[in-house]
Amino acid sequence: MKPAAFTMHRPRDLDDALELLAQHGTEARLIAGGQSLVPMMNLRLATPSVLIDLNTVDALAGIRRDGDVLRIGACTRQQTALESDLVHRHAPLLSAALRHVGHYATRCRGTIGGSLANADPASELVLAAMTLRATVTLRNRTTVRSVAASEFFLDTMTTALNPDEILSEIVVPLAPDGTKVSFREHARRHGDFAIVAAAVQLSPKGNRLSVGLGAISTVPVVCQRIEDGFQTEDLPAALDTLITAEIAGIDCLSDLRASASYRSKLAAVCLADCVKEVIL
Amino acid sequence: MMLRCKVNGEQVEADIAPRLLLVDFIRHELKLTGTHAGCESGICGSCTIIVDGAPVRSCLMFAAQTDGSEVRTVESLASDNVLSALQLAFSRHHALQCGFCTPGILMTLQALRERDAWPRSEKEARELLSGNLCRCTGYQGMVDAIIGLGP
Repeated sequence: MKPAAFTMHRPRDLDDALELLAQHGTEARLIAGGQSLVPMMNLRLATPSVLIDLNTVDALAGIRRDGDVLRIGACTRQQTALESDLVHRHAPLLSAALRHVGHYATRCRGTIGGSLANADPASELVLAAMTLRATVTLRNRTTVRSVAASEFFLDTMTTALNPDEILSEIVVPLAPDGTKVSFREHARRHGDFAIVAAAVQLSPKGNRLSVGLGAISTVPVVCQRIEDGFQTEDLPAALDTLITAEIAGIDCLSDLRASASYRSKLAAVCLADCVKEVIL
Repeated sequence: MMLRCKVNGEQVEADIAPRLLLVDFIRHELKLTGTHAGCESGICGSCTIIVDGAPVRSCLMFAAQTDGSEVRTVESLASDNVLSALQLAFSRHHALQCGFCTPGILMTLQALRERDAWPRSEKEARELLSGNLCRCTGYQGMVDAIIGLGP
């Protein structure tokens, strides 16, 4: 229950961190809040030989409005984002999702970018990023690229990040005032990993619905059928049919927490509750 | 690597291995055994302490990461053997039995008091306490202590 030996670097700034990462390559792991990485290291499921601590890179933390997007620095603590008026006002679905992330003490240390880069299938923040069509900014020493959430999360704990890149921020489109959101999840205990989570956002004019399902498959799913169906069908009358069709198309996870069939049934209930909460 | 930080108001300097967990540094090097190591994977919350004003799991931080920081443990709560109001509330409401989880809960609550984030209802108190496992009390005494003490 103690981590294997490693060398630790505490870079002065982002350039320094990127330089260290380029130098050490795949031997190095970045550490932000450490709320997922350190348990893995304590259990020796992760044994990096070099750790680069991003907590010393002030430029990676902070939340700001920039035109029609909200930019949240990767090292912004989850609790800071949860308490942020900017996030509450302009990305209410993210606020709603953050309430379900871990516990007060783990949110005080855990970061937004760390959770995204970790890409746990049950991560509330990954689900919110997918549903909100957020993008992430990835940097190496020479280039900066912007990747859509749908292209960033590839598989269970696998992302499009290259070994020399740092996820530096998440960029979320501003939700206009009057946007309605609903985020629900089912877990055995509060703060535990979700068995199923659903996220829904309705635009203020009521003309666009964004829907996502998390913890159900290797990567959270954008429910395109329901989103499209919302434009053409009569909801809530057609909702059950749309949900059944949506879930039938998902390759549901089966693990110690729940079987695939249990997950698919729970997802249908969770999703229906979420959609009804915003449209009724 | 060299570590310089403040622990319970006192300047500490030590030569440590990067892999040394903060909880082990506190218990084994500084001999402050009030902080308890439980699961060592961030689940139980027993090792929660305050670093730079925030409650954190000391089993999920490396001691090296507290360089330049201010660390507080449960030993900082009482002064001159007089219990703090928070500790007295726990005593009054029988909020502990074996006491293993208590330091982590007290430090989480202490941080909330200082951050003006004290639970305003029983529901909020229970939600907060879900971050700390207690196998003795059933939490009722702690909820009573939180509501009884008030913000």
